Amino acid sequence: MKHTAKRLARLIAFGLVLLLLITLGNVFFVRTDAVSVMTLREMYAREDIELAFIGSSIVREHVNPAILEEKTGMKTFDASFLSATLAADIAVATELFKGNDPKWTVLAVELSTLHTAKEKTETQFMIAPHIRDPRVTLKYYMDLCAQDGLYIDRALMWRTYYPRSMDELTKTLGMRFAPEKTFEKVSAESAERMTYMGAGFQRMKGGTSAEKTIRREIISTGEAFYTDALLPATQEQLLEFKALCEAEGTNLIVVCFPWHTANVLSRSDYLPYTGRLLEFCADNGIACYDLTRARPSLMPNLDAYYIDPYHMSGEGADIFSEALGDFLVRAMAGEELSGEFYASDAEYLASIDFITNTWIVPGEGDAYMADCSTGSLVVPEYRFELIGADGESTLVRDYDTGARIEVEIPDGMNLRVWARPQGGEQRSGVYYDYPADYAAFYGEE
Amino acid sequence: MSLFFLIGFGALCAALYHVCPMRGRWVLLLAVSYAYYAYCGLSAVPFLLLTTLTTWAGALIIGRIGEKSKAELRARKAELSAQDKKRIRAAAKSRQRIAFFAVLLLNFGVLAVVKYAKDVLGLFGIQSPGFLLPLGISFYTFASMGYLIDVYNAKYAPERNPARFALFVSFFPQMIQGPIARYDQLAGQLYEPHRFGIESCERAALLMLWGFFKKKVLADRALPLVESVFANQGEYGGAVIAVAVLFYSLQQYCDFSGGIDLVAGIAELFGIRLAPNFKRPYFAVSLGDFWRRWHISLGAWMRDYVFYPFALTKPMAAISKKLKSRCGADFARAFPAAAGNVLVFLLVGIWHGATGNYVMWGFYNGLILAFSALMEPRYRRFNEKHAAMVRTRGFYVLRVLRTFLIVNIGWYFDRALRAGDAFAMLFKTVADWRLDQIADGVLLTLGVTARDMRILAVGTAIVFGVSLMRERGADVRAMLTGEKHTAVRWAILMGFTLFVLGTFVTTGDAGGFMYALF
Repeated sequence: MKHTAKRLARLIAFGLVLLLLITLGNVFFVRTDAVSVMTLREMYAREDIELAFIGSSIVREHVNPAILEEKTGMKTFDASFLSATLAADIAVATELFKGNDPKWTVLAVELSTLHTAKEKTETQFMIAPHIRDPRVTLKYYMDLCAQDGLYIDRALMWRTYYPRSMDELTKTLGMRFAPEKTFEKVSAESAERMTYMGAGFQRMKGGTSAEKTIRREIISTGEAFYTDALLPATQEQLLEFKALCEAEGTNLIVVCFPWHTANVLSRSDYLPYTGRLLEFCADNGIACYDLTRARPSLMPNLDAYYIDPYHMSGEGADIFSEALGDFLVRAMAGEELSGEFYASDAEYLASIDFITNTWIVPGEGDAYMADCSTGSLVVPEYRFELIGADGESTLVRDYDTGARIEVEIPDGMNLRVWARPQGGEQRSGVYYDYPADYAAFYGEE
Repeated sequence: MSLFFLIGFGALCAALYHVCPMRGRWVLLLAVSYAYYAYCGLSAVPFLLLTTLTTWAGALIIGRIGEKSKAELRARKAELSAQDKKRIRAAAKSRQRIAFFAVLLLNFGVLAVVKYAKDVLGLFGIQSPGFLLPLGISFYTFASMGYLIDVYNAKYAPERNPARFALFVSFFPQMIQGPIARYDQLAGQLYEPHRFGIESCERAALLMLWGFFKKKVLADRALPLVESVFANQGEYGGAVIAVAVLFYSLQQYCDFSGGIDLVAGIAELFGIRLAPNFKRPYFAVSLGDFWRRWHISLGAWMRDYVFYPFALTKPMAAISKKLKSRCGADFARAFPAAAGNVLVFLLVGIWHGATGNYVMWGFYNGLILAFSALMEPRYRRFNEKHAAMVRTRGFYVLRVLRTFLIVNIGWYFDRALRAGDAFAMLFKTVADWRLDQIADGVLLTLGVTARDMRILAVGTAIVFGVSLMRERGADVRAMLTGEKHTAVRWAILMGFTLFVLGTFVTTGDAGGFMYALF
């Protein structure tokens, strides 16, 4: 009996040491996103946050706290992380509320937060190792696993996100033990792309444009997700977030942040699903606004500032933050703002008087069909050219509303289509190249 | 069926088993076994029930006929002549034979229909009615038929309690891919209650970890490369094909033996020891030795129920006698064994699948074993003449490598999609290496990354090292669960566990046991 008890004690001790090592691996041996670490560190250090933005990268890159502070007069902080969904938002807000009593909390959502309650595993590794309360970490983990069942991958983060090189290991440990010094070094390396400004704001450098990505990726109306109602998990998490805010005594505003118009139009589920969000929030007493549906008087179109279909440059972020600040001041004052938003999806679609992007779909033989994304009242017209390797252009057909063209594309040449509203102006980036060898042209890019 | 479910289910059931009253433990085992089987696929349960009930009833009838005739002989001992006794025995045997063959044909018939109907009907251009292969049907059919044959041969008495017999057939850890249970070895263990022991649980957990490591770290990691190359063999030269065959060697061994270790570990959690199914086969010194180490339970089944009954038949004895005068005593003596090996391996090949490559694989193994049997006297004389050399380590290694090569040639047929593919791949391995493909990094484009290669190398080294230790007689599990050198043991166990946790494959198509398909 004594022998058995001794062995059992030893077995339990072994299990505990193993558990400890696994936990240490999850804390110290998981690659680090330096900005996320700095954001969380600052969040834990602060006690004066009055206006908290919670959300994903669209908050981190679009909401300039300095501008918001100027507009609202409240100390502002972006508690936001790449690809964070509502599970992460709840975990982060729970931690933020422990040291801060924000008067207002803005939960920023977007379609990708809503149409799936599943969060990418890489988001967890950015956040979880740096959350201080293990109970919150555990709940966050369980919330995530309840949605995607990735119990093992999420419990053993170091399996996938272990440091791949000595540099990464140094950075990981450095961000843990000497974060300021390490961050200085990391910032210098990424200075060409972005600058971390503090308070959770990451200022993206301009220079790259969304046009190329949009031309390449957004060429159809995309896949429509389930749009009958918000996912049950999303509903539960929104209500949980609301309850969390109520318990904290903070006023909650849910805001659907806009995407590049081409991205919005490419998704047939975008407007129906965000519409479901507005309905759900109205039914449950949550203040909710969809800035995609805002009239230009409230939110100008900022397509020109996007560096990809979702994110804007720092310059765009400043303009957005100005408009957002003005809007929030009015919303917080309880002003009736319904007039600032389009009354229906149809009215919103009718308001788009330009073409966001165009593309070509091959037909039979030498036939090709042009198509484009645009507002519901726009009649598009297309112009076709053959573009040689040296950039020389040969007109195939000038602007016409007919979308079909029959032409043999010689080897090494591209068929280019331009699209504009009938009789309107041609935007410089709104064209698409269909090469003779499509796979070789687009496959490797 | 998820491996994690099996592990979790096994651990939970073991916990229940050890808190259950002693008398009810075998009933609990039966209940959880059927629950597991039903969870895996409710539609397969009738097949399991059919085999269980027909075999139980058939064996009981055979047993009763035997008992009745014995009773009659006892009762009328004084009045019966020797001829009468012989007649009564013959009549009883005849009735037993009818029951025996009826049950045997019914069960092997069902197995043949669900396994081969698609292939056979396909040959005639007829679309298969779409039978789903019930999980583990080969394994429980072979186990049940082994029991029936033993009862028919009066090796032991039939089980009277259908529920107890049902447990023997359905004991869940061995349902997936064996080993093929023998009633006289397993049944007693199933029915007697086992006491909880922390040491045996530690040993069981270690065996499960080892099996999990082989299956999920090595086999599933090697799988994508094997599948890519064998599915598109025309695109690759001999060098890539040779690597794929070596990967298949590793993958198949680790998948099958890893799965067996895992289920044996689960069985040990209940205090039940399954028959060993692998004994470090790649250390075999001959093909015969290999098949005594690989899928041991199938080999033993074939030996006892096919090989001996065939090789010891009167016609074989007559052929052997005739050959003695024409080909010599050695040849005549070895011939029944040689013919038996060809038959056994043809059957094993067909058991794997009714396609040309499996038949070729069986034929290849059978022919080599037949040749070895016929050459046995010469080998013996050679060994006696060169006794000193034969005992050297170098000669041993040479024999191991030779056997490994022979086995791997067989794997071409075992894994190829068609017999023609296997021949084409073999030809390229000999005559068209295309080493440039290796230099160009083709191997890293086949679903296996450089990291995977490193993990496979380390993992294979671990398997080799442990196998070598066990081959030399070490009880590695006892060493790791013992009392001495706690710090060293913990460091090894902790390091190995973290290695397994950090490297096992969680995604992709991998996951199921390949032998579950048979």
